[in-house]
Amino acid sequence: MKRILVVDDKSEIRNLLQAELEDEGYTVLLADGGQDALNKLDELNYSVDLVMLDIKMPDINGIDVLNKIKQKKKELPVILLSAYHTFKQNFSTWAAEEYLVKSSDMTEMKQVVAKYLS
Amino acid sequence: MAPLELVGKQHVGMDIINTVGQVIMSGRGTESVLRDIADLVIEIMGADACAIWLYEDGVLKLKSGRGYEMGREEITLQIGDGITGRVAMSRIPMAISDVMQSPIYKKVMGDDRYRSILSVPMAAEENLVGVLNVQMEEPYEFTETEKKFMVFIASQLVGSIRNTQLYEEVVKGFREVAIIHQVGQIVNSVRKPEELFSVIAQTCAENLSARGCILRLIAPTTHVLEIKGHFGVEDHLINRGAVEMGFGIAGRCALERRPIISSDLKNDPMGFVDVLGIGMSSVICVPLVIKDKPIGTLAVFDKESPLTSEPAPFEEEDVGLISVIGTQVAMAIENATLYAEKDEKINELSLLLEITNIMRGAMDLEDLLYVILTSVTMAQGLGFNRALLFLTDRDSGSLTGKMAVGPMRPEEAARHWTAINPDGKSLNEIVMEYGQFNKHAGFDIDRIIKESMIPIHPEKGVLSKTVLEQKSFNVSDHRSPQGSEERVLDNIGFTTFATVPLVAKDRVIGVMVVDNLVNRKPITEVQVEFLQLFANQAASAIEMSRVYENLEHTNKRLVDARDLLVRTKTLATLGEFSAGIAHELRNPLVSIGGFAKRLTRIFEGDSKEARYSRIIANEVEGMEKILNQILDFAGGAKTERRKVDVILLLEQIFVLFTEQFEKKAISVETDYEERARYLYIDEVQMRQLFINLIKNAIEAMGNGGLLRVRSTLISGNDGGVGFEVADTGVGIPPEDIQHIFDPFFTRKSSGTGLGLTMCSRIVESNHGGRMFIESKIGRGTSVLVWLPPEVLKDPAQPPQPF
Repeated sequence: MKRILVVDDKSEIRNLLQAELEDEGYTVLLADGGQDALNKLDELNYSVDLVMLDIKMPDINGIDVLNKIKQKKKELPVILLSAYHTFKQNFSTWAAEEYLVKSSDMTEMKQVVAKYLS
Repeated sequence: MAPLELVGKQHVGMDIINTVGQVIMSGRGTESVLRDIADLVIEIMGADACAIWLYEDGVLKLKSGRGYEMGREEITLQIGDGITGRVAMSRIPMAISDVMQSPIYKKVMGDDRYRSILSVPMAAEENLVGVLNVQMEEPYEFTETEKKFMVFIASQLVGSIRNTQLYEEVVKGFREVAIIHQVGQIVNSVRKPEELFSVIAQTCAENLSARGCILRLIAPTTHVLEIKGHFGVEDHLINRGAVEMGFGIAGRCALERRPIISSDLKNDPMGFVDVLGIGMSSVICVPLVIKDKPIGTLAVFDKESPLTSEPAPFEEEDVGLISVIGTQVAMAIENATLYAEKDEKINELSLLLEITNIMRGAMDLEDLLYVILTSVTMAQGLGFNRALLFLTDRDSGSLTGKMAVGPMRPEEAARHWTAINPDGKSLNEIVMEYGQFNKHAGFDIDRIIKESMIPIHPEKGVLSKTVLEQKSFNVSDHRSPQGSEERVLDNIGFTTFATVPLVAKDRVIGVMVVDNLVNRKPITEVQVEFLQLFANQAASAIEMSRVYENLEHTNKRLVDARDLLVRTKTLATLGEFSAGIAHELRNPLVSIGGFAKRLTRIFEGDSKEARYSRIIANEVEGMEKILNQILDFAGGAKTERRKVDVILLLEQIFVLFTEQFEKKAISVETDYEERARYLYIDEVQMRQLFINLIKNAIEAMGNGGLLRVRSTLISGNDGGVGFEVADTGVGIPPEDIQHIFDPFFTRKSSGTGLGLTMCSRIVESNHGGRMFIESKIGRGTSVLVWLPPEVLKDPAQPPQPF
């Protein structure tokens, strides 16, 4: 079973994503911030298949988390998931695989996830 | 001496009146008349002396004293002073048999040999006229009959003297006032000089009771004295009356500038003859002189007694009078000429004023130039056949052809000038109509002149000279120097013409050229002068218009810059603000919507729960769309210019709307400029721009309509590329147009009001272009997008060195 780490400081978003992705048959792990995500990844020795990463977070922002992940495990796919679509223009300079703007319509998100985990 | 025989006194009275009347009407001065009257009274009364005192200026003045030895000085007497003074004051006759016995006697005159006196007042109604005295050398008791008779004579004299005085006043008035007044009136009412002169002749003849009067003026070229006005001479005879200077009475009179009198023309000692052959017997001829220059003569002939119509000889006094009249007539003629000139001036000036006002109204330079050239060429204006207008270009030091009005060849004239019927139209209307006509006439010479550029150079020709010497030229059979750019004048047939400089604030701003190609009328100096006057007005109007246009231009740019600044600043603030809110809302919306969607999957079919959760999910989806739009607007995304096939882009966008076009029966018309196919623009932003504009256009059209999209290369001014998206929809009310780019301004029930704000930001802030909206209610809206010439160049490529 594929394992996905969902990183977001807002619990309702975490819960929603967990529910949606579990419906798709994935195992979902949760982190409530940048530091928490890095700790969990260390605990798991980076044995996850995909990271869903929020950008704007109070402790360590998503881009720093992304860079750390890529230093440790370059091939681990990271999908940036943000409320800010404006960050998308900087996406090409980041090492993330995808950039998605949060939406109540999960169709696109599920398609993208499936692309990396099928 | 014997007392007066009073038999038939009535007869004597009539006699006296008749005599007095004749004396008075002889047309002489009062004093000579009074002398005669005094003689008559002495004769009738059998007295030794007679004094006539007249009341003038508040005192009694001795006007006639027959039988007294008098010096030259005037003798006056106060009212109440002496016997005469008492009589004047009391208005009661007084007879004193021996003045030596009278306490009130006062010696007035030097020789005081008279002893008795009969003094009677002369008064008309309340007004004292004077006192009439008769005196005897010996003491004498005047009888009641004699007293009554004297009173009777005095009463008759009152009337006569009054008449004489009035007559004298009339003559005086005739000299001083009447003629001027009459002539003034004549000048005002009579427009033709010949009529005027004849009326003057008639006035002179009638006032002098002469048979006729002839007014001659010196012809300016031949110096012959020609009859210009006449009275008492038949019309067909007047040609005979032309005389050369120095010949005949009039000729001598004019040459020597002195009056000539002939009392018997049939036998004149100087050999003067009646040149007209009308049986003239006597004549007075006086010169008409203006400023020491003889201009003609005034001759009055055959004086008649007004009572008897008998011939009467001219006298010395008549010479004086006619001389005075001559002076007045000369002045009147001068005034009349001046007046006529002034009148013409006034006409010219009022025309000028009117045209000036029209010019002031035309603020647009091109319209103004049409007004100017139209005024110069139309019959109601200055009436030239053709007119050209050049303006100086200081940068290039040349004259630039701006406009020309008129036909190329005389045959074309009719076509040009019969287009407008000026009946019943004001000058303004005519100028406007002709102006419009000229504007659209497409004159060949206009085309030629507009292409001409003439360097200003001292040796180059008359146009340059007009500028450099700041003066007008009136030339005929002109040929421009070989190789001169002024040859353009020759080419369009300007060989006989006039030029005037357009001078504003002491600077020549241009040249106007006029000719009379069609009617071949010579251009007079007076016309050129007036044209210059007009040109000055035109120049200042042109200058004003230029300043105004400049001002308007600067002002518009200033307003635009300020608007842009305000808009940009507002947008920036607004962007930060809305982005902040939008992001805060995004997360809760996503979770509400996300969970609602989950619920719709949990609840089966048509249950309440299923419906409610669907509503929540749909509403949230709508809110998210709004949020995206706000965030698009607020995002301030960086503009990345890349080479874009804009025609392909537009075609792709049309595909998106195909369904909507079909549903609303909208036809699409495109017109692309191939040269504006590849542009260096931000594709994402431009796509958004066109989508927004096309979406608006579709929304403006209810059912059925035409959407036109075209692109074009802009030539001139700043160049660049233009796009137009036009619909045939409902249109935008004028009051809304100015707010159309304001953020959150919307005319739709749903919508953020950010669409056009976004568009303007994409065009103006991000691409350095401009957006314009033109709209007519019920007719449609047209959005114009201008992009600067930079979009045609690759920003990555450095400019090519030459």
